[in-house]
Amino acid sequence: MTNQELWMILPIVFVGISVLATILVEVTANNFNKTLYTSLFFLVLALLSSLNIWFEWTFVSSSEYLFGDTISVDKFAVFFYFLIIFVTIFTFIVSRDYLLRIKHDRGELLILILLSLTGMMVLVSARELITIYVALELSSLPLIALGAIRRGKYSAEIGLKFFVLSSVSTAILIYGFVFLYGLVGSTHLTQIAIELKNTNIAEPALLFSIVAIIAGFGFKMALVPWQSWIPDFYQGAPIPVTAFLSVASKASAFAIVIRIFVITLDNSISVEFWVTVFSLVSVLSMSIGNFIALRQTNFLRLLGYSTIAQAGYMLIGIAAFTSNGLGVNGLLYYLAGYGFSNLTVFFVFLLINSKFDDDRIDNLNGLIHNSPFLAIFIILGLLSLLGMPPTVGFMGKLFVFSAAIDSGLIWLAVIGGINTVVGAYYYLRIIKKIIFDKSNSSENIPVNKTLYVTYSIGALGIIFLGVLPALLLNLTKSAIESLI
Amino acid sequence: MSGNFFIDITFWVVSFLIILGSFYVVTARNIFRGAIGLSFVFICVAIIFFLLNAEFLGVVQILVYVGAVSVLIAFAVMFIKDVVDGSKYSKYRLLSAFLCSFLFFVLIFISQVTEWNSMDSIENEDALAGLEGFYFEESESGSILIKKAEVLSDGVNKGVFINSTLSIGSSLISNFLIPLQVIGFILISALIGSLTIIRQRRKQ
Repeated sequence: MTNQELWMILPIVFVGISVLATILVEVTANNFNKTLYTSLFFLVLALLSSLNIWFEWTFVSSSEYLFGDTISVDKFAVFFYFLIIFVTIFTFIVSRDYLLRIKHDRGELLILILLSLTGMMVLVSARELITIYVALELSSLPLIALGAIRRGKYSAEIGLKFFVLSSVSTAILIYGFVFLYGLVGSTHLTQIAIELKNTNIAEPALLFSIVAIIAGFGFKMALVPWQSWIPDFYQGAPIPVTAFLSVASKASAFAIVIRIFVITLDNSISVEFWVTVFSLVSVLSMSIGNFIALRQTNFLRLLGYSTIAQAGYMLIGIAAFTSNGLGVNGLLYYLAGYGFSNLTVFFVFLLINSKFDDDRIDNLNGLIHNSPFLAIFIILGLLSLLGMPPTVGFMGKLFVFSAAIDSGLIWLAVIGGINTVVGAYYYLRIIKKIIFDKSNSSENIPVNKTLYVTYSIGALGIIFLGVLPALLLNLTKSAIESLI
Repeated sequence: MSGNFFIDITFWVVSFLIILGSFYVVTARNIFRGAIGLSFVFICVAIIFFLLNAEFLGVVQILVYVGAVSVLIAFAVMFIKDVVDGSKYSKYRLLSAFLCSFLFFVLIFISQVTEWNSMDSIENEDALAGLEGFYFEESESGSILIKKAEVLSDGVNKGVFINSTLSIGSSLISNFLIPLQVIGFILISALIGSLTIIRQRRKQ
């Protein structure tokens, strides 16, 4: 390990250290605030060292291949570092009051989220099949415990369901990797790409391995044939965990899918095949997610189905990757925008939920009369999820749909458009409840200043990135360029 | 397979035993017998690893799977009330039988049709270096010699890992350092996660 290699992996190292430090402080200090601030301190350090790599301030090596080409910290990876570290920091800050209120297992909750974050950090920069598998395991294993952490009626069931489904999907993924290795004879993505280009084979084994890999990651991305754990998990797990999972887990899975499919398996035969598979899966996810969401009365379940539909929209970006990088750019943009909107919705709902202690949509009735600020924030988030201009959600949808049209998948864009209209029904129904329905209680919800600051950051992100997409688009462009 | 009759025979016999054992594991209604059958399958798989010159994997297979996992399963079985006829047939058994046999034939088809990339068939030196990178050998004085893949003599890459333990150990602390560290974190998360769940159940 050279000095420069160490500088390059500093973001991952800091997140790893944050896990260990948080464990130590949690065991010794017996003061939850100290635990929280320790973890936040190291996360900020990780963020700073990512900034160092992005702007190439000091000790940034030009060669991107680290540790025998198992990982690479290129701008693409750093873009995702920013995204998932920000998500974690915001989750921790916002859920402080929530965690202080639940008196048990709150330190464990932080530690497990940080462990999962470590896995995701390695996952987004992995360039080698074994590393990808191990990192994927690390990112999903803590989530099993987190799903079962709340003392609810169903928590054990959620944990078990998640565990079984996650191990089956990883086993299928491994099968895909094994077939790929058998064909190519290397576990390094660069080597696989070279071998596939040289031979240009259309073996059934290659197609099988593509299907298996998609099935393995489809579970993490919350796509349709593998979606059955989502609604239960959203309903049963603590809301901070769900907020973290909905953005970070999805983002890291999409990152590695881009690395494997768009960059590695890009010989013409396999491209044709996986574009078809991704388009079909995307249509299924959008349609089924949206149509089941129409009938939900539980807000968290509704968000679960909405996240399935959103994953479908994002997948259009991968299916349409041939459009001069616009598709993948749009996908990265969409992911970041989805992060802002979804987190805003989740965090506002966290406050409302802590007042009523159940998750029915009816609890939002007449929110605008009691707490107008909260209502405005959650309405902004919902409008952005729906894709209403001038929010960031609209620009994201615009990018992926136009990429689909550019690359000749017009039918996919049309289905996406229809689904947006279907989705509008249930998002607008919630907004109608917030504005026009009669409230159940008249007392307003107390909000402290830190929360206002974080909500405002979310709202500013939603509006500014929607009005000035170039801000974020420049970042995604240089991220994509570092990849190709 | 040039003439090593004994190895061929062993391979076929053990493979047959694995298939037989797996059938028994799936069909046995007595869960405990199923668990015993599973450890039998694990031992047979370890033999296959030995036949493939992967001694280290074989030893690990016996230590971890036969030694730890089977015992764990046996312990878990003891907590189940109806061991003798515990597992009822699922109502989807016809569908799953159909799907599994379909998958079986697909895999058979794929494995027969595909031209697998065996180590002997690789001639591209860069690809070999990418595969192995370096090759580790023990010298007569006991120190470890590191050779580049391109200077390997002809016969060496035929059987590939002559001393697989050495080579696995060396790659774990050089090229595969990051996965090794990540596995450490996986252990931490398994530990903390299971403790969290169990402690919470006891409180209830």
